[in-house]
Amino acid sequence: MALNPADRAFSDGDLRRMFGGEMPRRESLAFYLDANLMAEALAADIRDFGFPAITAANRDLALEVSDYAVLSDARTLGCVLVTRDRGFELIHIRLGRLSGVSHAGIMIFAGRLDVEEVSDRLLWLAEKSVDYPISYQNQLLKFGFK
Amino acid sequence: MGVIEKVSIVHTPGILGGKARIEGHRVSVQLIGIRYDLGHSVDQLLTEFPTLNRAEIETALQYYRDNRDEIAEEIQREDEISASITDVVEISEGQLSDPNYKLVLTPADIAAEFGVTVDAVYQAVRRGSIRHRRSGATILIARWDAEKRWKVKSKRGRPRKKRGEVE
Repeated sequence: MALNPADRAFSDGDLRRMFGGEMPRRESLAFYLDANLMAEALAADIRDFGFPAITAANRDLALEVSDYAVLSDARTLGCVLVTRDRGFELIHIRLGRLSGVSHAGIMIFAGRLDVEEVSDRLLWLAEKSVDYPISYQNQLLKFGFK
Repeated sequence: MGVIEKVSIVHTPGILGGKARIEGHRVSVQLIGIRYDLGHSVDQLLTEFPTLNRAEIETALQYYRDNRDEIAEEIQREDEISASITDVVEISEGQLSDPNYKLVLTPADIAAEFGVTVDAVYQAVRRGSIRHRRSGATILIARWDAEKRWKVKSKRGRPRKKRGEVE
């Protein structure tokens, strides 16, 4: 798969700096919500059930911010990135080809899913993996595309 | 006199994979269009995307209507990338509604589901060849890691045995 211009903007060395090193371990699955979701409402919903949720806006990364920066910030916090943007699939592929790098997990939800359906699925995942949150590392999950 | 806001649709390498988006936001035209095609009104879209204003949503919808071919190409490109990924996990509606469906498995669960012995799972754990977590005396393995390792079928339809693994 050929890289797009966005990928070429970051060298392998850049990516090793952004996605290398230890990742914080969390006691439960924690979510980092991209700006293309109804992030604040969704985060409040998830927090009501006792699971951590951070929005890109909380981190000042909701506006003119690169996809790599968003994913790297999620990793810094040990959070799985939740997004509706399928562009992260290509980033997942590229990071998978590089040694010494990792992401904290990516969940992509189809645009047709309502925010309530996204919330239900996130809570389902959090409850089902309460014993083992680290297992999302380098994992790409998709919902609503089949 | 009111100020007319100029809203631009831009393509920026590195933001939303270069797809058409509303300038100043990480929201694509494609996503606004998909939601609109599902029957959501501009007012509903304003609720769904609280960082956007009416002018931004209307501009995105106008761009969506005027540039159907470009959006279709974006979707086709994304479909091609999706098809090339082998390690994606897609959780179906059936799995979501199955109360017995587990994401974290014990060696006994793996033995029952994938047709390998519990010993084979413990061997993989001892060799460090599968990600796992210990919770007291229990070994926990993510379903997708177990599937990658044991769900691959041989030509005869039996689970493929890993080198050196005794079943």
